[in-house]
Amino acid sequence: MQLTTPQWQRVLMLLQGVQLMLAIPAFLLLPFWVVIVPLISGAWQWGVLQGRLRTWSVWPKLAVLLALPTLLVLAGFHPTSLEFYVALAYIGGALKLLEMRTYRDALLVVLMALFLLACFFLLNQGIAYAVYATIGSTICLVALAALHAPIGLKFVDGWRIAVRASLVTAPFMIALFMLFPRLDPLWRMPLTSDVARTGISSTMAPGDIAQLVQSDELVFRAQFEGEMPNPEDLYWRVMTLDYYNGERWYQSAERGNLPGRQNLQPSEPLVAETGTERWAYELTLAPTGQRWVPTLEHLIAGYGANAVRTADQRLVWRSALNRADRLTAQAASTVVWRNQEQQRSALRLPSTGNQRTRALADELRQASANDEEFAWRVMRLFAADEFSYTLQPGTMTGRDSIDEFLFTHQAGFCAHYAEAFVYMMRAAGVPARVVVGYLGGQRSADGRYLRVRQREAHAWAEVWLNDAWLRFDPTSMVAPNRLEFQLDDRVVDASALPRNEWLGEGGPVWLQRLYWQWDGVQYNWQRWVLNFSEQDQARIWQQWLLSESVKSVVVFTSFAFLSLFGSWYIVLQIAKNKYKWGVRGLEYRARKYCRRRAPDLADFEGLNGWAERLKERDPDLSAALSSFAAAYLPLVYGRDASDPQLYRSARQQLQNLERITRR
Amino acid sequence: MAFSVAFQQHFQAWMQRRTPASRHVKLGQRQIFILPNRYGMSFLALVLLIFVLGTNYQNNLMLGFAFWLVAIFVFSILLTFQNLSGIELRAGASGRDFIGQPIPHHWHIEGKREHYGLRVLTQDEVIFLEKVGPTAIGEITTEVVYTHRGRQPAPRLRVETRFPFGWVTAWTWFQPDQYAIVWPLPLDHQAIPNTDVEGRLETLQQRRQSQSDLDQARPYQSGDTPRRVLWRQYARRGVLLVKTPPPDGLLTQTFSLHQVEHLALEQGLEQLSCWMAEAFEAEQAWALDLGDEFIPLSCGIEHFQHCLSRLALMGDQDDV
Repeated sequence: MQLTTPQWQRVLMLLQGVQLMLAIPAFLLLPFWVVIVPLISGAWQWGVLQGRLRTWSVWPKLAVLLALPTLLVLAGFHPTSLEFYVALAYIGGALKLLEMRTYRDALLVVLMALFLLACFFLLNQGIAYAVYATIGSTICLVALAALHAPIGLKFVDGWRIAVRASLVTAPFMIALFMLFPRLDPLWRMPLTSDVARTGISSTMAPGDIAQLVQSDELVFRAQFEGEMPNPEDLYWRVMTLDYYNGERWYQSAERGNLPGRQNLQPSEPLVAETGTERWAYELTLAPTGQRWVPTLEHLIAGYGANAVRTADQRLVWRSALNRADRLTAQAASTVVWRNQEQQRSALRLPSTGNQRTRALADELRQASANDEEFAWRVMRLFAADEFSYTLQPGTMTGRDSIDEFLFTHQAGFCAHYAEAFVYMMRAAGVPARVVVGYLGGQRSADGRYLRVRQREAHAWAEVWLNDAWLRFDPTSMVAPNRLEFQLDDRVVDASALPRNEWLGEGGPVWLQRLYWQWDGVQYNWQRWVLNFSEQDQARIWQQWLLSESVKSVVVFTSFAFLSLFGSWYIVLQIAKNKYKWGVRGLEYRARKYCRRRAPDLADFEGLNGWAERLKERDPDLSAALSSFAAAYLPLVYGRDASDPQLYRSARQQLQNLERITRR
Repeated sequence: MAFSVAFQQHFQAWMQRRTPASRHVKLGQRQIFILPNRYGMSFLALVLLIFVLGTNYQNNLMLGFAFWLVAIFVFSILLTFQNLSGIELRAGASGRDFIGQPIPHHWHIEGKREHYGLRVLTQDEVIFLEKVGPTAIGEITTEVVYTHRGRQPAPRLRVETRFPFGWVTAWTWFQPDQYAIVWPLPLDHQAIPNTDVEGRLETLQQRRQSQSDLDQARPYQSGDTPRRVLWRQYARRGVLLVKTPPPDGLLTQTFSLHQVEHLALEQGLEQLSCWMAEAFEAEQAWALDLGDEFIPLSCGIEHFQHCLSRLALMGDQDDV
């Protein structure tokens, strides 16, 4: 279908609107310069329509398209990241604007816009973008409506049609969402998102924690069944770090000191002591890009489809967490330890460095009767007045960084104290390790759940005493208030922290309430939409509908419907095009050839009629056509309809005809 | 092949039953056919792709988006149907002309609601109507060239739409109950217009008809030949009236089917048409005798067209 120029102008305007609508999320989710492409192509196409510019020929377009992946890689995209492919699709769609000549092209632009709106969901799953995507797809529907009646349809009417279509179908979408079975992934998806994840990574240096403390980013929410633990019991274990190379701490495997290896050696799970306090909770985690799971001390049970327990009593995901996920777990206050290993790796120290610390450790160990007393001596060391808690202690690097901390600066934050403590333990031959995780969290206004942000990141120590790993948190000696309150309530060195007066802590009550309400909305979004799982579906089927076998019926009927539909459509297309094939095809082609020389011949006339007409105008063509008709018509209407000889002669005549009409 | 032929015939018969020739049709469920087209299929393929991606990445939002698009697709079938339903197609007037000349057929398309994006397909052209509604009535003219004389039906038209989203095509066929009158070509077959046949074959009927042509009479003036006096009128009314003689220089003639008896019917008609064309060009008057019908003496374009139409409808069973 061809459109006139004023019609094209109207269509192009709306398509530019669609591209603009796409540009906003592209600008926010992809590197900002990708939006330049649709601007250029849209302006170019507009110029073509005005007659001022020429359309691109095939070769430049092909060249750009082929060069695109390399260009993107050069621009900094990683070829195995989601952003790479989404950017490729986005730029490809924008370039399509250069290639718009027919109705089909315009339709394709809109379809690509819808596809891209869907792809952006891979990069962002917040409520805001979901709302934007619905508005964006409504805009695409308006563009489609206008494409089919560019000038006759007023924008308002088109908008009304599109909005009506969107709203009426929303309940069906919800019903399908809740009832359509979730299938397992069809193949392994290796693509991950490029966005640099802030947060606890698999190694630690003191400076990392200081950086984290400045971020308000939500890490996870925890909903407790029943009472919540006291703030000082809210130790969330994320990682245990065994190996110290003089600068950073790493998780280590038993063999070798490869950083980042998980400890998946089997070991006995912890068992709660009878009568002790227990807590059961459900975690909803934001995507971290890492494999760790923050679990409350001490973990006695954890349930999650993709999580496994490690030797050091933590949970880890089977693969890096790239989308929000949920987990339930249980913790107990006191546990029974059985058959725990790993002491040997918890004794290693670099061979040189920090002589004064080692000396002090020896001294204190001599003065103690046993290991436990020694540990408490070291703890009390930190309680002395000289030591203070600050987030900006200055840099302490080099081989003797711990010496510097203990004897020169005597000020630092949790990571420094933990580090020093563990160093001294190991120096005296007591197995100890650094533990990194989160401490505390924001309680919701109704007290039902906990919000843990990056600023709650914390480091402490665990010491192997009496056949168990016991927690020792040096910060409790230096800044005991840190345990009870959130970090920015009571901080010794207030100037270091960015104060957050508005949200949740200081600020007017109504604003706080709004904050928690918005948080509740986001939590429900994550829980019921993003994490709507098969279990939820099964529950719906069981509660409201009859049985689970209905699910397979639904799948079966929908696929049967689809395939029936598809095959019917294919048969219809074949039937429609049958006149071009087989014996009839000869006539089709003969008419096509004749039309090359005499385009005004009418379809309803027979071949002989055409020959008559052409007798004066074009005698050669007329003669050839007559001989073809003489050979062809008996083939179709005569009694020897399937005579191969006749068929061959008809084909010969057809070839003759073709030769004559060739230009 | 036999099966497909039979299927075609069956299908054509079924279509004829649902969309018979009529002067006025209001489109409803019986007349409208609706199917997704290839753009709709590509849209569904896209939705499938989004569904597969959403399943693979376990992204519930993408799945929800795919479900929503499917629901919109199904809803658009209803919307496209509604765009065509309620439209009224009315047959209008058709033209008359010779064989080989394009003859116009007029018809209207109107609706009480607003209908957008209608495409009318005739045999060789596509007319695009942006909007049809209470304030915008579509007046369509299709021109057809015919190869046979007589009462030829207007061509069958297909009215279709893909509005609003282009994924579904709804169409109907309209066979307007209007006919073009196609005149025989004026071809000379070398017959002789035997004018003295006229006197011998003048029947009683013709005499009565020609004598009762009162609108061609004027009062008697001395000098008029008695042959031209309307004696019957004189016997009735006692008024002497004289048939108006044809103007000077104007030849009168009567063309008759009998004059072309020796030719085949079609050729005979063509011959008559040729004579009349010559007479018309020479500004002569003539009368036409078609056996059971007699067209009295006259001249001019309307007389010419009327005569041609009677010639064209020779042998037509159901005369208009």
